[in-house]
Amino acid sequence: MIQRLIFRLFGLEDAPEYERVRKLSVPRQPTLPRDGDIESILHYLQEKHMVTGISIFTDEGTIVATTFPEDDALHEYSVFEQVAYELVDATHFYAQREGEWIISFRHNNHVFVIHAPAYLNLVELEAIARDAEKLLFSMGW
Amino acid sequence: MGRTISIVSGKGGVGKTTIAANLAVALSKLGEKVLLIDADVAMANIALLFRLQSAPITLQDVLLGESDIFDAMYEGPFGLTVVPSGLSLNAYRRINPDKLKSAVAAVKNDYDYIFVDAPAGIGDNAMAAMAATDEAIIVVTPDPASLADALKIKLVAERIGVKPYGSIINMVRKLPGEASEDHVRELLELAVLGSIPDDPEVRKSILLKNPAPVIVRAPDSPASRALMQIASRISGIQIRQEKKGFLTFIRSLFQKKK
Repeated sequence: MIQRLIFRLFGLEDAPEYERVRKLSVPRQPTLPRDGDIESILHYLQEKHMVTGISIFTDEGTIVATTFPEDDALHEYSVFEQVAYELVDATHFYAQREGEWIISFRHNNHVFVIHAPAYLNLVELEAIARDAEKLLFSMGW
Repeated sequence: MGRTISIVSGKGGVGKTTIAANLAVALSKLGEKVLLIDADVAMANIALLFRLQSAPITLQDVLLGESDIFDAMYEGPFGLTVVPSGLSLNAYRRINPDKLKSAVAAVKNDYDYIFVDAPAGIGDNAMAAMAATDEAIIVVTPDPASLADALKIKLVAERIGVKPYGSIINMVRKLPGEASEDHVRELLELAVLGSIPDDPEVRKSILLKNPAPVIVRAPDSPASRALMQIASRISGIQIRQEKKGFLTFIRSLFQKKK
């Protein structure tokens, strides 16, 4: 009965089985913004990588872009700096707060702070950083 | 520079390892220089298929940082090179899968094709294996569960910057309700490189006392032929059709299968 209800909600009652699989499995694909608006690029990255927030800093702690209020973002950067100072060779820091992961790491000459609803592995973090840097470079950062 | 391709699947048990091993053998048979890496470090099976279970140095040693990848290479059929994974669960707990990327990069220029047999699913090890390559081939079986999982792995591949190259449909029985090549192509929005029939010869190849890839053991079986066609499609090398005369036919009737 629940299945029938779901199919009705998605308008898939008469759809072939493989069409149902597709409609129920594939999330809406985010579209890459055409203009150089940094907010829309961050929003695109959030949707593509399924994360809740992204802050990007230069190596010296200047904010490049953030989805959070600047004060909060700077606070998180200072936490990263402090831990990096204490644990010299560490590259990635994972913290959990109220069920949310806060992950900070250095990539090339940027520092990233990512908020995510679930744990992200190094491959996923690398992909976020690579995408962000590519898009930022295309904007002339 | 060679092509690096991971063989992935969303669901376990779809025959990913069998396809990785046989595709690597098929391309070697076509004259390509091929390296096969077993990156399914938790459930390593390539070693069993190529009878390398007692290999002294394996991928686990490479990922532990204790050996060089060149020391973990072994010779397979038709000039294929195989890097097996160790069977030790204890060593598996200590490895760093992220080292795989640099290991693959170190040998990329030495081969025409590097195939990486990835673990099933979208876990850390599976992603690390995929991320070590530029392209991915998704193995599916023609049922809705396998296809739904294949869709997810395709999306993950795209998200981490790996190009989904195509799909292979395995264990095709042509039963009513099975997804056709068109279904799979439309659903995954990806080229179907070929379909492999459900062939008892494949199972026999694994169950024998001395297991061997089906292409080596039964080259004329339907699965072997399908795999050769896929290898030909990937490489663009035409398969030479051997003309079979009357005498060859008679001889084949009396030939004992290995």
